[in-house]
Amino acid sequence: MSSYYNVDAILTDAQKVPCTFTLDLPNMGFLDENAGGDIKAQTAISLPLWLSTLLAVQRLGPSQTPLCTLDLPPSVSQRVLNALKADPRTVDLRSLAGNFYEGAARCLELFEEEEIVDVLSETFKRRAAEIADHAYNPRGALGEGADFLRGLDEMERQLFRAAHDSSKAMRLWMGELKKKN
Amino acid sequence: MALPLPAGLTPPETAFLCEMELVTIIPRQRLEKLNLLGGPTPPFAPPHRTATPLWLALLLKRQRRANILPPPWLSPRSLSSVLDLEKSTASFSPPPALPPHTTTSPPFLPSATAGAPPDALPYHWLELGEMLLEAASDDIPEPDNVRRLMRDLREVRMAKMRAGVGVLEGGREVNLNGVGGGWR
Repeated sequence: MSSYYNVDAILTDAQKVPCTFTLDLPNMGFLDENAGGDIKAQTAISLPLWLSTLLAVQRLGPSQTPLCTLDLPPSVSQRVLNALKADPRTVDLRSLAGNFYEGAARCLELFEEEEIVDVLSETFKRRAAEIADHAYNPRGALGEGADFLRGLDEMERQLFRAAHDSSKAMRLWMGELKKKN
Repeated sequence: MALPLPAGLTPPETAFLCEMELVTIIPRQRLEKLNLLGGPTPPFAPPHRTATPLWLALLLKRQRRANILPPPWLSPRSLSSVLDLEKSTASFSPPPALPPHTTTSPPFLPSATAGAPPDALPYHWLELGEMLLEAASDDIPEPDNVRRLMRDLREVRMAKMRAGVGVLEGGREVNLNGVGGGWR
């Protein structure tokens, strides 16, 4: 996650977060598809995570107001959280955000939201067990679980891949032992 | 991440490490000691039991120059008692007790020789059991029974590990004591 060259970290940084500007910004309209224009105070724009976090911690002038305020990204909106609370396994995380967990973790470093943390860690546990079941399925992971597996986020995909490859390697090793004699 | 190398040890690598485990053999031929990189092998004098590394034992077994004495825990009686223990508790069956003042770790513990403690699964039980069943099934009493019990044990322990994911949380942990090295 922290590596400079980690592609997933870069993609996480590129995820859009809604933020609201608190000041008028001249000549910054290109951020709001209004090239050459100004940004008025109270405009809501979705900006990449790397930019919005920098703007949100920047304090300007004697008033010490931040340049913009951040909101939680739509991938952890209340609607999504309710769906995750109801059944974590039916939610298509990939369509919400490619790097759902990492993006959420980055946002939660900035927000104090105990409830979201609880919901997300419960989600991960429930889904990890489900992922393991699909990965160990010797008849191949595609079949009844294809819909679920399509909805895995990047981290879960790596988890699935590790579990699947290792169980395959184990079967191969045991099968090879049988062949030797 | 860009490298397609698998993270950690692959099963053949784990099996390779396991081949350093000492097993007891009954040689059928005399053999003077060989000075190898890993240390000298013991001299073989036919009717006497000798402890050798597993790789040498398997080699001699394939050439029909030795018989392997399976470790006591690789018997149907011992395995089924471990299986009963596994089924009755939520945790894993404990590893064999270490002799006092032990400073080494597997594969350098004598956990697979004829003098190993029964009724407890050592670190390399899965790999060692599989390899012995494949190469020396005629030296093991009731090999089919042993094979079935090994598979049952593996499945019981896999199910426990899967259930362990559910209780993972900051501050709480799953006790993996007694889990061998072949767990993938």
